Amino acid sequence: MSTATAEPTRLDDPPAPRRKARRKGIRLQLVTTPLIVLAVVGLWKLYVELSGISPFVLPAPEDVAVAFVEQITTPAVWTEHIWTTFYETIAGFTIGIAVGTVLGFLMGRSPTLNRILGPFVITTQVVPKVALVPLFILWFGFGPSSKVMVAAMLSFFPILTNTAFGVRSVPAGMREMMRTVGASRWESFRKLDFPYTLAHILTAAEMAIILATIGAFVGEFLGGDKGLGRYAVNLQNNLQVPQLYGAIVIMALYGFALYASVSLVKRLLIPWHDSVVIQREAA
Amino acid sequence: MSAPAPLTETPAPAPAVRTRGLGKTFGAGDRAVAALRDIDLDITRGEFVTILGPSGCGKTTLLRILAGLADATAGEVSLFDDAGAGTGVGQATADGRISFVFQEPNLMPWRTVRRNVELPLEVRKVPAAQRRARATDLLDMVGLGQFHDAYPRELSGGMKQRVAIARALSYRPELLMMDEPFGALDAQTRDHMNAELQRIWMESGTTALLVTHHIPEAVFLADRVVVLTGRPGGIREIVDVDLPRPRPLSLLEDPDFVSRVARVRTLLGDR
Repeated sequence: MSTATAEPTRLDDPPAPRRKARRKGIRLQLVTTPLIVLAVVGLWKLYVELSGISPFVLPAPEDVAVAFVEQITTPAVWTEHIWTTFYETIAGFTIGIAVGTVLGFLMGRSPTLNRILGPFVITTQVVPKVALVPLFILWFGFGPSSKVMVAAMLSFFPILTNTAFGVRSVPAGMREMMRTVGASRWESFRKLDFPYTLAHILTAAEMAIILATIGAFVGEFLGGDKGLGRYAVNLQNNLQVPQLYGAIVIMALYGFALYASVSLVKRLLIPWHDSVVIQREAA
Repeated sequence: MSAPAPLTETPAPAPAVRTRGLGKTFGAGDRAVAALRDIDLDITRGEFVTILGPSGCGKTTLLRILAGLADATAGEVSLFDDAGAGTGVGQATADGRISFVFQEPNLMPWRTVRRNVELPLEVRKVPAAQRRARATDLLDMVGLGQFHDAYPRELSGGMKQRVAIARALSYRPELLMMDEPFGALDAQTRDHMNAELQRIWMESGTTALLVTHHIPEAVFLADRVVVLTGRPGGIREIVDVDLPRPRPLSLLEDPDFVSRVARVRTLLGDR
């Protein structure tokens, strides 16, 4: 049949130049990232040597490196602190996703519910959350539960707003198409609203995992005896400054790893989405 | 068996669509805007009817009412009026007897072409093996046999709209409604798609109802062209197009065809 001749054929793979550009981009990153880190560490070392600054304010990079290696090879740092913070972050993040998506879908689809719940949702966000932490500790104790709640409260909001926005963005034509093929509301939700909104939820999840991490740290700063935040406070109290810097490095790597995991999940779950396609082809 | 059936047993042409006094008014009171008035329309099964009208005349509204996407404010609609008691639009939708092709393809970007075509069958709980077989047949029919596993973003505009047509035909509707399905395509692709649509319609044996503002398209495809007046849209005239099928694209230059197009154009311009 001669039907398809008049039309362009499909783009099976990104054209060769683009793929080359992508590989080039990754290679560039592999060079620039270590170079910039090295440059910063070099400047740091130079400053410490030339200024004679007190090691209690800014220890030398090699002292921090030694402390860091010592810390991550100490099992207690993993079992006591990293694990505790991980548990709090993931539990809070999970609650945030659950509450945020359910409320987001409801408020996105029902203007009435949006009016009723809207002010209360905003209230939870405009109140300074750090001020709520002592209250949470009062309610949920010094253990992980209070930190889970802080993490959940911080992370549910972007999920909620993005879910509501996503479900409102479903094209009217696609909704009508579902109606004309005889889909019930539930089927329309399952086969249209949910997959469509998933892209928005996952984008918010990248933000929410960072907020959940911050929530766990802040909760630990203000009370308790375990977790990376508490660990950092203890090191500061003991004036173990290189170790404090080491703890900050651990926190940064920890947050980075969680963000990268969520980002990976996003790319796996919505490979069809324009943003992912562009990233895949260009980055 | 080989003897020809007596003439008296030939069933009377069964109506697919019947409207009486159909009207639509948007808003109420001082702000009321009449979009459609007094539409009496009868469409016989197996016919290809096109609806043509000046822009804003309510032709899309008419189609949306017939598809259950909008409600009429006056008159009545009955579909598949076999025994004097036709079916309501809602029931016909539920029974999978009507389907709709939109101006936009409305494909789901997360589904492959094949799974987009299968969507209505999934909704109707058709087993996977049957869904797959049906999608394969349909994609062959619309000339996309090579593109089962492609995603919509990999297709051109014309190809996407063919997927949408295959999806609309998946559950073998008795009435296929199309709202300017080729409006976004360039002229060459549009002509090509019209020829394809004629072939698909002849193969599927469904009743087709297509809204357009493109006069040659309306005449090329139709057994009858329903020409509407300006707002509020009423039926100005119904033009029979008794040209043999399948109609080749060369027909577009045929004097017979051109004179019909000119006639319809006069009807449209002469408000």
